[in-house]
Amino acid sequence: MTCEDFQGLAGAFALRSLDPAEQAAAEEHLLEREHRGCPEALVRARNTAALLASALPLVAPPEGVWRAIVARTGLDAPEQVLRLPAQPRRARRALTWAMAAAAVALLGLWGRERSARVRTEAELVAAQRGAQAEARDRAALLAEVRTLRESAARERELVALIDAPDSRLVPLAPVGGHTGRATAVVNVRAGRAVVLSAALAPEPGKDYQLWVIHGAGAPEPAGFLRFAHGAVAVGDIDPKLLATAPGALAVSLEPAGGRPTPTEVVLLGKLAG
Amino acid sequence: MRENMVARGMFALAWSLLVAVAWGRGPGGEAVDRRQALRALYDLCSGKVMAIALRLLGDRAEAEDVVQETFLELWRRTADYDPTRASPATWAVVIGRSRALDRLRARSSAARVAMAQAAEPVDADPGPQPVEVREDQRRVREALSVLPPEQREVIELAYFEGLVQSEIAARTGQPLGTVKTRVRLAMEKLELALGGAG
Repeated sequence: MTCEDFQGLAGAFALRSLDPAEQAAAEEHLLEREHRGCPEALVRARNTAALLASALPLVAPPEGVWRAIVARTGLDAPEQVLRLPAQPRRARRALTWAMAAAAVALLGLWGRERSARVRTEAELVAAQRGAQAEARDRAALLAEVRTLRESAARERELVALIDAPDSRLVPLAPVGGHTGRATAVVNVRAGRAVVLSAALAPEPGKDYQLWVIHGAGAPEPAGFLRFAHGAVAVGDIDPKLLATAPGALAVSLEPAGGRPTPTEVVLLGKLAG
Repeated sequence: MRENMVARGMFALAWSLLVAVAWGRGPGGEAVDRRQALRALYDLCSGKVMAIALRLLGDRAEAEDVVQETFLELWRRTADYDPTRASPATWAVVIGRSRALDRLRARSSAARVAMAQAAEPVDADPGPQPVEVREDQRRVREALSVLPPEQREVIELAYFEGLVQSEIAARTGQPLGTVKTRVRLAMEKLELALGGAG
């Protein structure tokens, strides 16, 4: 199937009215890496098809449907507003082993030293350690609250940026066999551009570096994506690189700290027009 | 221009709701109960998902199951959402209609005919509808009404009855090639009339 063939079928594909063989051929075509407008044609057709549902009067589902959704999502449990970021599995395992080793060591100590003086000292040490642990927990919680506040301010700023009438949303698509995607919100007039992605996973020991490309010039390093909270990564494009409208934005996967030139580009988006 | 501003405003609202569902925080920066955020998204989209599922399946209990499956899928797949491709409401309708079609097509032909005959009529007077819903209805109905009757027919059979093109050909007695051409032309005209904006 060629791109022209697919685009002739995009409407029927979006309606899901293709017969099974054609449906399979169209799906296979979409998996190809190079396209001349097929994803864009599909997005337009899907949006048009979805709008057709608006011809129908709304039908409110009964409240029991909502209750079933709440029960199945686990949202009927008390809400946990503060969530410490999950530690990587390897770190958790290391921590578990360290705690087990410490417990064994303490038990050994307990068996060898039974005098009241040592017990009292051990209790004092334990109390001190407990206080230190509590202080660490408190510091971690305060850091988490600060992160939440910063993330909330970032989110507010992001919504305002999206809402600005002269902001543009630029999709960053995977290249070179990579997966994932991101969206850039670009406002050249305000000198602000933010890249966000809910489809990239943090890579241990590596950073997702942002790049701005002007015309035929070399990519210029523009910052990093940060996985500050939850599964969504957010990164600011260096405003100095937005003095003139960029031709393209890219994300590359680099050793921690980044590189002056990209070595492994994973996502690319062109700012048309 | 004004339409564009309204669309951006709605987009920002819906996006912030999705962010709130995923992260547990609202657009104002406050910590948000994720249940409330999902409820807001549900209030925004569930009536439309229920309407298309009921129209396709003709069975209220099954349509309610589809609404439930749709929001569970939205909940699980928030990270897959791409704001440059569609609004969350469009995403919900696409998922909901897809789940309804899966159920419809799992029925045997005989069961489909029997269910269609016994289909529960959609309430002709659904009561007061929000202004933006009435406006969307007006635009879509107008866009459908200006299509040539034979093109409108294939769209109605494909979208609202869930028929594939060979079934439409059999139902209308038209050659398959004619049906394909009509579907393509109708969708191109609708895209032009409705802007293809999600």
